[in-house]
Amino acid sequence: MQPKYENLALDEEGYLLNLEDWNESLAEEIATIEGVSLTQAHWEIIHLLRKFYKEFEVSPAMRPLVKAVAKKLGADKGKSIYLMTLFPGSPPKLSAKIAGLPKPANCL
Amino acid sequence: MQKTLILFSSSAYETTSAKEGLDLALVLGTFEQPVSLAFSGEGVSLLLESQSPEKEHGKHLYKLLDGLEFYDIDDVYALQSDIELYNSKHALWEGVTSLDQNAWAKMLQTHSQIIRF
Amino acid sequence: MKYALLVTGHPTQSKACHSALAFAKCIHAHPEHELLGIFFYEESVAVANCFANPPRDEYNLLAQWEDFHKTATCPLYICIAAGIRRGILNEAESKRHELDGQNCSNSFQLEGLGTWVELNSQADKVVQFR
Repeated sequence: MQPKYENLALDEEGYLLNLEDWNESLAEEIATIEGVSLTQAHWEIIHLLRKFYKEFEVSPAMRPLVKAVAKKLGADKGKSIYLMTLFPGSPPKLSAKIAGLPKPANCL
Repeated sequence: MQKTLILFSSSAYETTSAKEGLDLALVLGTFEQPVSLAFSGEGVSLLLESQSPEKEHGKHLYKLLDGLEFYDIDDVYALQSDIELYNSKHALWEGVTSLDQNAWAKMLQTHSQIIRF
Repeated sequence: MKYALLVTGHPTQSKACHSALAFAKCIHAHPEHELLGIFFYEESVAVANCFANPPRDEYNLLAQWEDFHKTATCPLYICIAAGIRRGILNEAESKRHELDGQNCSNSFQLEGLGTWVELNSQADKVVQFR
């Protein structure tokens, strides 16, 4: 799919401006901009993250993200190394960006 | 190891205090610092199960309570006499431990820093 | 003893910033004690606003903090999230948010709450001014 960047209202760091705008094809576009090609493993985290935000109204930093993944998807996936391979650099930031959520505060 | 207490005595939505206190607690948790929360005075309003803040009140702070486990925040206390004073009929968040004056004073002493919001 | 100060009270609605300054000067005057840093959170971040100008014949709190910063080595931190929420910006944040102008005094630096966590863990004593 050819990305349609002009449809995306992103902030200066690439986070979605209006959280209500998010849908899966928007996520694909943001991921393309960030150089990530989304697989089932990515989607699992993205949906978990959106559920986390919906439940607690906060984007998790690394540690709570790892704990949430471990609790919901099992200990094998609840590891920073696993999340790093899916969302290189800063998993909480990159995954929040693609999931259309606000930038997590105080991320290492 | 030293443990920090975040003490909430301000009403949940009257100012941004409760929000900023919670933000600080979450960051302490994220950085693996031992932290507990305690609620007294009007601060106990944050624990009311039936709260339904509007957009203008900011974030729904009660929702965050259920997420505290992901930040390793397990100890949440409230002062029993203030629960009775400010709230006699509504249910409180189930994760909170209510303490009488004596237990409250002892709990405060187990912390090396107390930061009040 | 190592101290870290957390200031949360507004500079005109409370005496938090005044008391913190007096306390900081006192620590500074006693070499057996060390002040690791002062962190401004909540309403106190307004203290760094250099667009705020009290009448010339009144006490200028910001000028006093700036003087203190010249003599003392301890860093003065403004919580970046609290500052941005209330419009206290330095050049970098002003650019990042695509805004015109900056109003954070150069004596203060914008830092995340992680900086407070570090101070909190290194200090023997933490004192809050609210």
